[in-house]
Amino acid sequence: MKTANPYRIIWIMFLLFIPLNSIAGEDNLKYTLNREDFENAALIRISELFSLIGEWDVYSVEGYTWQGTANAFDSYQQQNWTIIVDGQKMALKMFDLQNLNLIPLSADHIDSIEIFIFPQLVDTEYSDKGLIHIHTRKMPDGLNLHGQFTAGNKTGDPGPYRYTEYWSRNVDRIAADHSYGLAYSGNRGYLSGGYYTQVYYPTDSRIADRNRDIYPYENPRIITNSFFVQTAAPQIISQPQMSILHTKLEDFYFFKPFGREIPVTNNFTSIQINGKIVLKRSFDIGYKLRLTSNNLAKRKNRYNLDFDWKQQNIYANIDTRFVLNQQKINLGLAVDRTKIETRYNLTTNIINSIILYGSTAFKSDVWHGFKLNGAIDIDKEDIGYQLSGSAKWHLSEQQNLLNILSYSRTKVRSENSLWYWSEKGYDFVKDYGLGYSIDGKLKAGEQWSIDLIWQWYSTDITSINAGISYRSFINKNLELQPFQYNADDKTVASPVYIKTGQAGQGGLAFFKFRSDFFNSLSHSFYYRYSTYLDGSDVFTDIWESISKHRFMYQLIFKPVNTFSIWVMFNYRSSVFWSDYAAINNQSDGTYSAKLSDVFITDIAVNKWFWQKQIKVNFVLRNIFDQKDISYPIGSLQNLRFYAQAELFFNF
Amino acid sequence: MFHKNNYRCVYRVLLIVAINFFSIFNSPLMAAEPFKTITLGLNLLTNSNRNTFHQYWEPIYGIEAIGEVPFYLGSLEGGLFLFSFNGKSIDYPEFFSLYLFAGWGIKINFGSDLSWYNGLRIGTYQMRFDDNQIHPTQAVESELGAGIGSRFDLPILERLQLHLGIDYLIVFTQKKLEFVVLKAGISYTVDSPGWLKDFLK
Repeated sequence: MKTANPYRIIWIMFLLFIPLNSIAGEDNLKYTLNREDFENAALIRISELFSLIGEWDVYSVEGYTWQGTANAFDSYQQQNWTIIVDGQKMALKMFDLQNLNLIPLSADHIDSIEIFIFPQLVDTEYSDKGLIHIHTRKMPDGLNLHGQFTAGNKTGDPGPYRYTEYWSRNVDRIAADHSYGLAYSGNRGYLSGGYYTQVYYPTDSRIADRNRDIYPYENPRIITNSFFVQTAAPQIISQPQMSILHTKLEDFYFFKPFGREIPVTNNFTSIQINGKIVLKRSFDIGYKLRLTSNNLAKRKNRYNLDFDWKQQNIYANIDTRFVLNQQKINLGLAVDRTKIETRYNLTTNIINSIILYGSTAFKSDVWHGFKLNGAIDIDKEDIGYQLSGSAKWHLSEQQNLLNILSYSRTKVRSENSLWYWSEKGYDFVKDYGLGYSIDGKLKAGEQWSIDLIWQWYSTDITSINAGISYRSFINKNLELQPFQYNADDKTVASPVYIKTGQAGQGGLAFFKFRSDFFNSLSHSFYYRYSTYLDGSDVFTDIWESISKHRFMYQLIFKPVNTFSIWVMFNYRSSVFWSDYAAINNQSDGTYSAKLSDVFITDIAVNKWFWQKQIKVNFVLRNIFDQKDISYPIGSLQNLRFYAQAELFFNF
Repeated sequence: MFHKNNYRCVYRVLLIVAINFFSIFNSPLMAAEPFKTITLGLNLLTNSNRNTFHQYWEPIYGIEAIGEVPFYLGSLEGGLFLFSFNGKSIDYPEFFSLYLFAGWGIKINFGSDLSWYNGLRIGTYQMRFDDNQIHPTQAVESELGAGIGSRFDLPILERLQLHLGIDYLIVFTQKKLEFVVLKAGISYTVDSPGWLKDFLK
């Protein structure tokens, strides 16, 4: 087994940096989906935003909760990407799950979404696995009322054939959502609140038997109830903004070690305040305080399974930004305290960390720009550290060459994995009779990355980006779970083998194009090839679950500003989930480890009425009814449709 | 990769889209003022095709109510049609269907009289089964419906038109329902009130 040689990579990084002794403006390292982008696409739920991001590969077991990995920085096993709302990190991650549905915002509460696909410090958070920053919608001055109502259905009901030999199972609704918002905005401050409910039935024929087996009381359904309150007072010297967010998610959590969904009630609450004091035009001090509680509690189920897991987190941060000799400098200090409450006796249930971070950005006519980011995360067990640099070279008026280099070492604790806590005494897996073994000691993973990107702008309305990337991973802790199928309850089971110290390398190449033909017509194209280059057997097997080829083509026709048609073509190549290698034979072909390539076409038609106070969307997903399955024992996402109405009144 | 039935459906839709695009370049409707008028119509329907579904159910006559306004390009329509079906034996209960749809199409004018409309429709097709054996909530099913249509409009008075047309409708049940519907009826055109034009714009 070959592993990356860190010294060789440092040498390559050094060589690349010398000629590019310049730097990337921050804007080169992210892109933004603005409100118009996802209004045109008629984003139904916040978790659907992945469908607009080519760099993010995703899968879903039931079609409601999506798990992802960004830009070849990870496999699907660890969901270590970061999500931020209005500058505050959402501590959603629990074990191997990061569920966007816990964010108490419906799509109509979002103003824009920034996508960061390279390792860097964003605001006060360093992410080496990709980061999504959601900015909530700030309403215009005055009193604002808004609401959104969505009905969604999957096709494939039996119809009248239910009375004939062509009988088939009924297909339940996939959306019965409604959200409401009330906001007041004035010179002296801002107050906003919102509430939403979402309903989804995880009863596709491929997963219904499992869920009805464990939840035989009524038709299984996922219900999300959320609310938020936000307030800001920009006139006060410290410019405070405060938010209270809460979500109660009655879920069917697909718990991979058990090979099935477990009904749970997931309560997520976050109370947060942040602001900044501007001392001089070139010097300000920011602050943040955040209290978060994330609780995986029991929901009635036939086997009495109860995770009994509550994570409470306190995060406080102070941050300075100043300009010194044309250099923008950002330095910060954060304290992070996590406390676990559970019926199990843990050897450690409180973890305190101190995080030091900083970035510097330098711009001049000569050097074009340079940015360096770093963070150190210290607790009494271990130290994690991250470092990245980006440089930009103006090849010509219309062309840039960018490169981004990064290294990170992530503490085992930071991954918040089930196996870390199992080692600390959380015996949930053992209690319910399933075995696991850890091959040695869990290790702190290391990651190197290099990205080289060429950018070309012909005009303001046409751009091309193309690039190649290299990733190297050392000391990864990877799960191996050779599932066996149980035909009685349609579940799978296997002990879990955690293989530590796994290493491998990967790479990708991409091409991206965007152009606005006319005022009324725009389109964009994205293609990516991603693959592993080398690595241990476990590493390469796991990477096979990510499509090698991916392309997206998006066309928007907006002849007038009150009407639009959006079309998206999305292709992903076949994948193989090695943990399910035996399932094809064992399930007589019902399920398969190999998921075929799939070409999906979505259409959304939007019409506004009454001076844009009412909007109606009609959305068709997978209009050619292709066999879209993204997880071996997951649901079929066939042709489905949504009708949505949105009301917005400003007084 | 495509299912055979979907290919057939796609070809039909593409055919009508092609006809419509041809129509665009031959139609004065490109210049029509959007939402200027409302045309309200009523049609009698009959299901003319026969397939597997009709081995179990016999269609009864249906009725369609429709409203149509000129759009920036072509025209928009919205409406509903009602149909009921009798089971051919007691094993197949009678059911009543309601198709709520929205549509878009292009009209080609032949001189000042006859015009030919071609369009697409999409909506929800609700079926209500007369079955006392099941729970009332299970006796109603909704499914996506989509189709294409073509009709001739002949003015008989200044604002009154006579229709004759044909629609093809697919309902996306597990085994798809396919209907060819012949229709005839009348429609009446009025000028849109100002408040309605403001609302629709």
